[in-house]
Amino acid sequence: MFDLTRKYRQGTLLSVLVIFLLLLTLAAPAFAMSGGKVTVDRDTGGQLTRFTFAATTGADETVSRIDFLFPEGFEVSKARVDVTLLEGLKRIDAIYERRIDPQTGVVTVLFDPAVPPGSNLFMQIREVMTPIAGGTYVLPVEYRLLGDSAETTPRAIDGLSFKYKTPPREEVISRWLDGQGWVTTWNNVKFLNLFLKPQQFVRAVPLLFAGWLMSLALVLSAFPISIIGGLGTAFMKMSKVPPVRWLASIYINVIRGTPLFLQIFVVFIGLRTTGLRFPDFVSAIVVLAFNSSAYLAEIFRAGIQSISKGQFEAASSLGMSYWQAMRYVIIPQTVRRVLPTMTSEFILLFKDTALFAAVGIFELMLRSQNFVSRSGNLTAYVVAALYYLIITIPLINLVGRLEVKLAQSEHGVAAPTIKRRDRRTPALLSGPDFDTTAAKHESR
Amino acid sequence: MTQPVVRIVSLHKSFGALEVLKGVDLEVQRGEVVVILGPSGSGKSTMLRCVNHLEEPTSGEVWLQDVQINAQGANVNKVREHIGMVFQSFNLFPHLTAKGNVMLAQRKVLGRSEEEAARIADEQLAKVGLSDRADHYPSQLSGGQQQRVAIARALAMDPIVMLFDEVTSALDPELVRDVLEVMKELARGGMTMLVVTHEMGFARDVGSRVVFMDGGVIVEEGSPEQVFDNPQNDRTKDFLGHIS
Repeated sequence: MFDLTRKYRQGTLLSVLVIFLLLLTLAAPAFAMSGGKVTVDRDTGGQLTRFTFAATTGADETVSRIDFLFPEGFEVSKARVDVTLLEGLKRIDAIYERRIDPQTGVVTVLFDPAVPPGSNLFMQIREVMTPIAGGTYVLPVEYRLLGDSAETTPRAIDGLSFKYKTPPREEVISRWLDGQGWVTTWNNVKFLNLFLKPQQFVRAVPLLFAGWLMSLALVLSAFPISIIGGLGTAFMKMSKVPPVRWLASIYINVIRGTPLFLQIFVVFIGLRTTGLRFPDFVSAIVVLAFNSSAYLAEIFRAGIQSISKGQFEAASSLGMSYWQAMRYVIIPQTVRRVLPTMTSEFILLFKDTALFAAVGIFELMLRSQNFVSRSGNLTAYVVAALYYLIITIPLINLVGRLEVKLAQSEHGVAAPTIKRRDRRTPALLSGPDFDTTAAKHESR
Repeated sequence: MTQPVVRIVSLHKSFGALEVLKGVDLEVQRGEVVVILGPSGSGKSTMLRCVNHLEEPTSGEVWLQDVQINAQGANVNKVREHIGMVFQSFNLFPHLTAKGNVMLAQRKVLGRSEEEAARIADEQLAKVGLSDRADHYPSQLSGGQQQRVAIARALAMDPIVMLFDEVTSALDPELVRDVLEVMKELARGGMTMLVVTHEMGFARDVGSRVVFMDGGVIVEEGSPEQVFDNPQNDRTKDFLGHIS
């Protein structure tokens, strides 16, 4: 009870103070128009903008006319004006006339009856086209009092300024497109408008670029780790020591037998609840590398075992040790054979980075998704697709060429049968002479 | 009598339940060319592969001079340096040129310098008549050329003994001659050789001793004249009758 009263008292005290301060500003003795201020409702140039002007007329001033002298480059021909007048705290009807001189950029407001002294004046000048170049602009405002003759030098409010920024290039292009006839025609086709809206396209390209870099950074960081991990696992799988072999088998089967999506959730959500927490980027690389190592291990193992036993025997008969034979004879040949499949694996891994959208990593997919949900237009997805294709199409080509080269260099020697990730399509693998190269690819 | 280069004592080898070698004894003296004949499945290749331990004997002893290669803790790689082997399927390293093939083990196993290995490779390739093919990859060479490179590769290691495992069997007839020519030249130079082959002409002309194997044992052995012109064993007679 007591507490409540205290709070109530504090509240009253505060409101009294606010009202007092307000009155102080409003009733400040003024002998010229004061408190002048100009604001704009846009933060970039090159678009229709609303200007707001606020001021208090002086105690001895009865204002009959105000001129806004817009600087060069401002387009005022369509400008409209709204005025709100307050005498003290009471609103009074303003009767005024608007005049516009598009040539000189002057917007004139004539008051009849004139604005009484000590009034608070709020004016909005809407639909003024601003120049694109950003910066701080000065807006000179002049006014005349009731009874001033035409020859009287008008009074001026100096130092009124406003500022905005130059819009980014894509914004400029997008606005330029807004005004193009063919763009309008194009957008009238519903499908094109939804998936390939030029304005959205030019906006999405720079915005998704960062996501593309993120996706690339993820896969480029993870893949080298995967190669080392995969090679190690492959040798473990071929080990003479059974427990080592089993360990590798379990790892490979668990990873290949579960969705990457699930693995991501285990690391991102599972580990967090146990208190282990790494930066998201690091976690993502760990998951990718862990996943890809298992696939590469099988690719490498199949590649190594596809090298004819005679190669190992020849190396041994020359006195080479197991590791020398591996290093100088078997691995170099394996690399050539698995290069196409490895490249395919890289492509798959790159596309898989999209799954990280689900855990909030701002890669290509999440960025495009955000863009789409903000704009309600699907063009950003098309842009994202193009960003993926910039990487994947050349690599798909490369895989084809590597396979042809391999087939030629081995003269039709039977090559490794490499098991691929079954959830993937074999579409990547269409190279000529395919049967003689990297072999039969499984698909469901 | 001097110490034999290769000595095989009571050699047995089984693959699972299948006993391929059932007690083989053989001694090869320095400079001898021992030609091993026999029907397929008689164990002659397996015996040869036991000599450089590509197959591990089930029991028995295999000696290279005074080293037992199948002894517990023997440094197999070290012994193999001194045993050259040439395979039916050539087994050249496809990612290296002819010269690269001949140089690799010299560099990595014997630790020879780049220049020395290259010089020896050139010499050996010249010896097998392939100087002009030094920079070719195996896929650019004919079977006969590949096999001669394989011989050069083995010779570059300065082996004490050379093993030839049906080295002409995979070749087209017109390419066989070149390879045999190289082997003859080698024999004339005094190289100790163990040769598993079906080339009777070679066995008769070049062999200092012919060994006939069947069913995992040595059935008959002697000079080429003895074995070819006057075989004592029925199985030898039968085999030679089928061949000629």
